[in-house]
Amino acid sequence: MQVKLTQHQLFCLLCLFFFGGISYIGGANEAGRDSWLSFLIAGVLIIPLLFCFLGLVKGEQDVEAVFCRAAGKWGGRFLCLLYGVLAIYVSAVAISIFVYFISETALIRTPRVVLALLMALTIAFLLRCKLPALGRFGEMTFPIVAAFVLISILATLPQCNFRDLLPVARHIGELLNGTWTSLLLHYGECFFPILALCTGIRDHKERKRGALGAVAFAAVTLCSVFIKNLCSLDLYAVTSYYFPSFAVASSISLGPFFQRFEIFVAINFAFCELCKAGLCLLFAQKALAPLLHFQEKALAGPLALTSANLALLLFGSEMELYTWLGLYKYFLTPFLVLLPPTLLLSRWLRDRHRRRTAGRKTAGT
Amino acid sequence: MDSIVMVAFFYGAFAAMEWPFLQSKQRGRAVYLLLLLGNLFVSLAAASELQLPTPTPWMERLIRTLPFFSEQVVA
Repeated sequence: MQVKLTQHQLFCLLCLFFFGGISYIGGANEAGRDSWLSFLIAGVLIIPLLFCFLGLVKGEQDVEAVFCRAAGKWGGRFLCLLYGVLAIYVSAVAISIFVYFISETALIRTPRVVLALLMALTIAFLLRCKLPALGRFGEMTFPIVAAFVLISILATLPQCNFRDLLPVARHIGELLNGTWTSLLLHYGECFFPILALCTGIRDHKERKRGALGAVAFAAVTLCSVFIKNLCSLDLYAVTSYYFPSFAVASSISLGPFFQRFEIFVAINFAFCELCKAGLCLLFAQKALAPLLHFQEKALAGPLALTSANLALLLFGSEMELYTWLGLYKYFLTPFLVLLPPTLLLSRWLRDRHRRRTAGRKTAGT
Repeated sequence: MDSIVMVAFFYGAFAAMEWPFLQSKQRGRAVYLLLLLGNLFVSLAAASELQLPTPTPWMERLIRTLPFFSEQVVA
């Protein structure tokens, strides 16, 4: 198998994907003041699921083969279709959040359809690239995004009041609920990029190292970002914003040259959402192309357009979007938490059955 | 009107990007064109601010009917 991605490229792309989920919960999740803690706990809880996703992709070279090995030919094809459609939906939600963010903060008079189609066109170009080009895009973009995140955290430190973090873990039930939200909306969706990207890496150890490194880095960064927002704005202010990082960035000053630092946050956000939506659609492309007998490259345009149009259809306002995001985790739970371990178990049983049958045949001859 | 012009521009860009595929005699051209036209219809409807049916209220209602989730407080 030809090596298409390196471990470092996988790490960069996954980090960008994880950062793309930063605005899924607005200022804080159900854990409230303990949102930052819920990100750390969810970062630990995702590790078994991550091993499960990596276990599914072990030894396979394309997405269809992953599902067919676990569920047989027809079951595998059905799962390809199911997860392909789900990936389009997840990507549409990401585009929807991006469109609302831009139309609320920067381009207020620009029609939403234009923003969505602009995103779709960029994603279509991204999908038409092969994996090595995508990897290089991740490698170039990640340092820029990480630098802006680091600068925003450091620049906000002087105005942070760390007493706002207290009391820690007062309501365990709410903390667990928030952890579940973070697990699904910020980490669980990595099922799609892991299946799409890991088929391009030959060495399984490299896949593991890249994915685990990305989860660790994303958990620490997301935790730091939410601590920064909370300590800078206080809980009551932070929960009233849909995009609190932008509000925090608008309150900091880096001297006369960087007067409007929030523009850098918006650029960061655009890169991360592009990566999130793009990697979900990359999975959809790889899952649906063999089913529809299409070349992967030819499917890029229709998939990006479908996702953008779905993003325009799904929600009428920010209120509707954030109401749905409150229920989104329940919708995702069976597909991202329950089904993958079942598939891994099924794959193990089928492999064992195959080995025994082969052993019996060898003994018979 | 501006939105409709922009939609036309973007779809023109998509068609230009896929022009070699559309001109070739490869399998799937009809499906491709169908997808492109379907998407164009939805984009034009969105640009004209027409309200098209959306699956979100149905999915929301479905989740809320489940006994465990009906009690969940949503922001």
